[in-house]
Amino acid sequence: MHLTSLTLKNFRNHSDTAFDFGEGINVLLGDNGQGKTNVIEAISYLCLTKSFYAASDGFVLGFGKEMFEVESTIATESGHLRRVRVAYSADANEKVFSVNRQKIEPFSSVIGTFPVVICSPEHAPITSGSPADRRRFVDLVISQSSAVYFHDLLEYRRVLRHRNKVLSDARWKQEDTAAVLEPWNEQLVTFGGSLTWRRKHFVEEFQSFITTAYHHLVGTEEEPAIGYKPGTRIDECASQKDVEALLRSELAEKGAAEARLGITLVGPHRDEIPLTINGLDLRRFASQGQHKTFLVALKLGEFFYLKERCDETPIVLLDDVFSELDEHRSLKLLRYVEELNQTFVTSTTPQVFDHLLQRSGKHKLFMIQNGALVQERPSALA
Amino acid sequence: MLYTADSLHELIEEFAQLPGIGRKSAQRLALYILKLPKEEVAAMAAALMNVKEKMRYCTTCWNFTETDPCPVCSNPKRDANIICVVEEPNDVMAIEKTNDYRGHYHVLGGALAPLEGIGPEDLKVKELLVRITPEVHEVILALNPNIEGEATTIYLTRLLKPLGVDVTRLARGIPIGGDLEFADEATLSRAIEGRVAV
Ligand SMILES: Nc1ncnc2c1ncn2[C@@H]1O[C@H](COP(=O)(O)OP(=O)(O)OP(=O)(O)O)[C@@H](O)[C@H]1O
Ligand SMILES: [Mg+2]
Ligand SMILES: [Zn+2]
Repeated sequence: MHLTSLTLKNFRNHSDTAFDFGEGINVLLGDNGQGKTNVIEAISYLCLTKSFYAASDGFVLGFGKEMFEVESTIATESGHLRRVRVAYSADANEKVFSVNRQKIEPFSSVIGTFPVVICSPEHAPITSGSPADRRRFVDLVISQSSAVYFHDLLEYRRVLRHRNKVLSDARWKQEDTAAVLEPWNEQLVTFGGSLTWRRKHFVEEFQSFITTAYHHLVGTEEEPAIGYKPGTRIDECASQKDVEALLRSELAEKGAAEARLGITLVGPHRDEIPLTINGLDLRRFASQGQHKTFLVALKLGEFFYLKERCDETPIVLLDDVFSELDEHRSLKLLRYVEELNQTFVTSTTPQVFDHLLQRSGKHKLFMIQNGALVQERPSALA
Repeated sequence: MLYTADSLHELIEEFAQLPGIGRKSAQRLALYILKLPKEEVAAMAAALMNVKEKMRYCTTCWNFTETDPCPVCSNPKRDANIICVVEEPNDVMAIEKTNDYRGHYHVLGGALAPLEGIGPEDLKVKELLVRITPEVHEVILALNPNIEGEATTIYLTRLLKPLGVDVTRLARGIPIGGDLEFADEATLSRAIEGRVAV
């Protein structure tokens, strides 16, 4: 798929900005604070129904404005045009998502329809942050490729919150706790077993995608690896049913500790997904360059994984990815990205992209200034 | 729009409390009422008061009724030995529309939801258990197909089974008339999981 056009109304500092994109690399160029990332964020709204980093719709609403609107025409690989629109009104605190004027509900049903891979500074915690950051990465990749996984993930989270409430709230302790807990145990086992089993398979399959991308970026001296260390030791499990049985027995074992601490101690919300280079833990031993390269490799891996599984080839959003790379690496990465699909990159300097525009008419460059598009190359007027 | 604390503002506030009504809709409703003839507004107000004064709970099945026991519980043609357990009165209405079910009901008044502070004590669970006499041979658990409904199903099954009554639940899966092609993936996957021999 690719975006042919995009309009932003009262979205962050863009009061009314319109783009006609190229099918190749679209460079969003401009000084700091001019509104480049805001465009990337708007595209994430169309694909994921929300920002990839802002916690609430209110934050992206233009200051002092009443409603925002992001609209785009998306061309699918089967040759159809889809009119995708997100509108948010502050007064009613209401968000509407529609495709070809049909309201989509619930929003979650759109995930995976317009697959996207986003790499930005906000994603740095995937390699350097806590296990929760890595779980979030894995969850979003699998969710975009499997509606069943996404469904089970949402159900699991809700089951977990209900269960933690029973464990932590004094009121529930007066009731017969074991009987009140049991329905949530059963469902924790069902959805937890599903998530655990699917994550295990995902990690096994994902390894080769990362290796390929990483080797391409830095050569073969370094061996990147992604592992799976579930909260529950599943080494002996041969099926999802085995995992469920294991979760059930661990729940029984940890019952007393859970009651004392008031939280759920068993299940995939405690998984770690360790990342290593040559067997060394990335978090403890990797340089900044290695972190950055690993992150890019994870994101390229995500691209190829989704391309294989989704009906549509994902678009790629690279925010600030080139800013820390030297010219040599930037060019190498650009050459690689050129082969993928439609890509959006932000940058403050035009140098590396000059060659690009000469190479193919698929690529375009947009100059962003103070929340507006001030110049476009090749020029729309030419 | 900023009103002083006048009567229109008060009405808007009341409407805005209703489920599914936002501020804009509340304003529209209030202005609509304001323009209606006085008799129509009086009829509407009377209907509101009536429903509150006349309707009560059936002390057997806990559905809304004007008479206690309700028309279903007091109908001799219905089988009192099958009880269908539902969350809310509108679930009863939905099943009654099928004209297929000839047993009795039991309205729990919700589903287990610790996050919303709803536990067994807040539902008509004890009231259900006292209805399970030796003559009752089947309890159908017809709760909503979400995690709260499922939790309630599991909880009630545990209580009912030892009483020697058959406990059944609604089949999960593809809605009839729904095209397989258009069923969402999660429903389809569950339906495949719960497949039965033919
Ligand atoms: N809700 C909002 N309404 C209006 N303007 C906003 C809003 N949120 C952020 N901005 C403005 O948007 C600008 C930042 O835009 P953005 O993050 O896209 O910059 P950028 O071009 O990516 O810059 P950099 O190169 O520094 O990353 C800031 O000037 C900020 O004040
Ligand atoms: Mg930026
Ligand atoms: Zn009754």
